[in-house]
Amino acid sequence: MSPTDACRSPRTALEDAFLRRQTPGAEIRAHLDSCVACREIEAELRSLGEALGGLPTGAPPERLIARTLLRARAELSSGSLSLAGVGPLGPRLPRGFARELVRLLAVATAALPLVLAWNALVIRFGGRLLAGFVPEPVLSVLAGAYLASVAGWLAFVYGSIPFVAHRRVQRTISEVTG
Amino acid sequence: MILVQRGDATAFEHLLQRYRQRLFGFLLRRASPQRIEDLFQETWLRVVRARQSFDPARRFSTWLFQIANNLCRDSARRNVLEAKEQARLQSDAAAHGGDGGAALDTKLDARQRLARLPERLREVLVLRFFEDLGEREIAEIVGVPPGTVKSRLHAAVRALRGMPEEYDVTH
Repeated sequence: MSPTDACRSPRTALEDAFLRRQTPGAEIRAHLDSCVACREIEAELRSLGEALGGLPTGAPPERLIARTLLRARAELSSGSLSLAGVGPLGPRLPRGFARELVRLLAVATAALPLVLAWNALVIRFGGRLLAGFVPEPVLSVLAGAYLASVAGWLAFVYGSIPFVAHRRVQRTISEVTG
Repeated sequence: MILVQRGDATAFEHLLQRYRQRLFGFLLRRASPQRIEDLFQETWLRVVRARQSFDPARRFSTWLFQIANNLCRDSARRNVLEAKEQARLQSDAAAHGGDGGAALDTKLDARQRLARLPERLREVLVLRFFEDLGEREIAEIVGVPPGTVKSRLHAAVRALRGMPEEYDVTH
């Protein structure tokens, strides 16, 4: 049954009243007195509301509460240990940050000897290659500039690790909480 | 909750005792019966795990229902059997749709009517009708604008009545 224009607004109001578990207001009552179709809907919604409202509520079993508390306490104690002694900024850091930071630092540190060895090779063989064409002072300046740029990149990469770790932990948290 | 953020287990227990009934009631109407206990426990464990991300300026209940609702969504998505059951109930609903049989004297009782609602309608209806939450709070929990919540609520009422043709459920 499609509502007529006159019924549209009262029916929306009837649905609002149903959703708020209230009885329809006086204005709607006046319309209901003159409209059989809306009166039927009102009776239907009242009956539906009573049926839904009468659904059993149920209570969580005590064993479920006990089990939940046990697991939560275990998580809380492991979490509070990781935050202990972090200082005033500690509570602002998400749980798991320290672990993620250590993990990323370990990966970055493992790669460091390779990076240093590669750059040492570049300077050594690059220097030999250019030695025949480029004067010694210019060669020293080039090597210095190259080393400075490498140092800059390394500082940038290692300096960004805490931020990357924080971002990764926050992303995990938002995945957990949806 | 601030104490829980500091790792206070006693404060957590108070929090759980305070919201246990409400959360359980919500899950009872929102999820399939065989998953309720798991979802209840998982919701609280996620509260503990994600406690540092909780903004104390927000209402705790909103955050709690948000976590629980997301878990219900995930559970429904993962549970193939549940999805099949949902499809069966929806086809039942479609079969009943054309008979103008909106009246409550259909074979389906209130619980079945609630269970056969599509996820996006059931979640808003449960939060409004049973939890008495406002549209803004529901919007925050389900992650849609308040206007969409309003239209979904009316769609849910009409779907409960078996009158899906009276509304647009595409929102």
